[in-house]
Amino acid sequence: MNGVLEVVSDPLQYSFMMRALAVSVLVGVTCAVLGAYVVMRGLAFMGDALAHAVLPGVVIALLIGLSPFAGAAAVGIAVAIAIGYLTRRTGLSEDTTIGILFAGLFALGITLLSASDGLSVNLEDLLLGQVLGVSTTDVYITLGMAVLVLGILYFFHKELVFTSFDPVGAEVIGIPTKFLSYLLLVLLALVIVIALQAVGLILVMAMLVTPAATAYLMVRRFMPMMVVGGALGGVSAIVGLYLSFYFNIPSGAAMVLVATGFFVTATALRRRVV
Amino acid sequence: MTFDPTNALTMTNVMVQFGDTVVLEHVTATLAAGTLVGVVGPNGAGKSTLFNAIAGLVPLEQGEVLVHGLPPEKVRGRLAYVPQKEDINWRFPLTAREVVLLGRVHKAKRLKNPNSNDRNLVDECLHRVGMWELQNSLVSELSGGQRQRVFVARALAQEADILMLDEAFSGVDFASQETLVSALRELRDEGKTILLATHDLTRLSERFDTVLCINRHVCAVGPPDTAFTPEVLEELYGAHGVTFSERGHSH
Repeated sequence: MNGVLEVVSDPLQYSFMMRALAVSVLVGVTCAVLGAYVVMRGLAFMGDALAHAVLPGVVIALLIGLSPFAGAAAVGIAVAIAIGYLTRRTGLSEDTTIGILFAGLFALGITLLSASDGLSVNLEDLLLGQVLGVSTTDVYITLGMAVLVLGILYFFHKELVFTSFDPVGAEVIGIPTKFLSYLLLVLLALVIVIALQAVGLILVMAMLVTPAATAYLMVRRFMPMMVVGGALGGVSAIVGLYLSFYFNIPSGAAMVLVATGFFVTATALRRRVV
Repeated sequence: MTFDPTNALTMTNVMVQFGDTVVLEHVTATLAAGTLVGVVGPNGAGKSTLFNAIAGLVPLEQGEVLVHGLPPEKVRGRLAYVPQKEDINWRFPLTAREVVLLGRVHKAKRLKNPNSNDRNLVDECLHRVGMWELQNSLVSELSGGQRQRVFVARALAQEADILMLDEAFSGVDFASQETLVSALRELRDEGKTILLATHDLTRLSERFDTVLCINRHVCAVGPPDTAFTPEVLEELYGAHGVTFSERGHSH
């Protein structure tokens, strides 16, 4: 018994591990709760694209001495709105406009990064996360963002459920469906920004989609899906971080592998009702 | 402008255009409150667009829509919409009861759970459409006719005066269509105005008080027996429609 306790408590002697744990759990839970909407509304590709598209925002923010959170959030929100605008303006399908912006902005980010010497970040950290390096300020920012996102989801819960299920009926009854669609994209951008530290931009999509999809296999209703998904996301983050500590593997990859393991298990164990 | 209890809908020279395409034009009709109206026309005739125009969701190029004498924006909540099944995200896991409860959203207090009034009303609405026993089933697991009745219950929970059902018969078997119509007839008897869009010409005269035949413009409006002349049918469906209908009436 003692051994197990030590396995759990040993890493927590290090303050960097405490900070990493706090950020990881917040990211895991928030991503998965918002992920319930991502899965139900088919926004997975949008999430992946936003994650890549915020790269130039992060780089520019660092170059001019702002918080990378601010840069990423600004670009994320702008991209979320631009996708809606371009789709309406050009008549192209949404996945096409997403693809164009996603790749174009990612390329811009890489170019800016390689052109600017002396920046304190490197591409690998952004791609894969660097949760062991987060500062106390990062922890507070992450906490603030998580509270903001979860609070907004709670505040607009009924309306978001209505528009996600029946957009036309919702509009007729007077719910501002367009505003809520943009709001979800903005929340997605904010969550991606905090998730970048933990899992990096390549693996953000997994934290958004995998725990929520696993929950969908496990429970029949939407609220339980958010709760179970959030729990799975949090547990994946904790277990992943410990695996990363003991086996010296990248933390983001470890978290995603744990989440994926849950999904595979849930799929295998699933007994179809009826 | 004041509330007009007798005329549920007044459309005057309504024109709707998407880009360069005219979807509806010269739509003029008055529909009395407490009638069951069949909105009939082929696919692509503009039935859904007409509903959207009535709900104030699409801008009118010309003309005017009045709902009980008032512009649509002023009567949000009095109108209820039962979308066609393609417009619903069936993956979203909601039970029949949860869908009916959505009808209370615009009246509910923010962050509050439904109060006992809401719950009682939802109970009553589920009973009235005969969906009480299935209230905890996911709507995605219900049949087409059952789903329609759940949405009608939602419209009732919303306490709407006017119900618009888009392609309500598609994917619904004949017996369930009849069940739906008799449920709607009861609501009509209580003074609700019901518009049901369909491209199905089966038993129109038995089912509806009034038919509004549209194919980009209003081809006819009135009681089914008088409005539905062979000329109107041909305008709606071409010569093929006429032969179909003659065969239908021959027995």
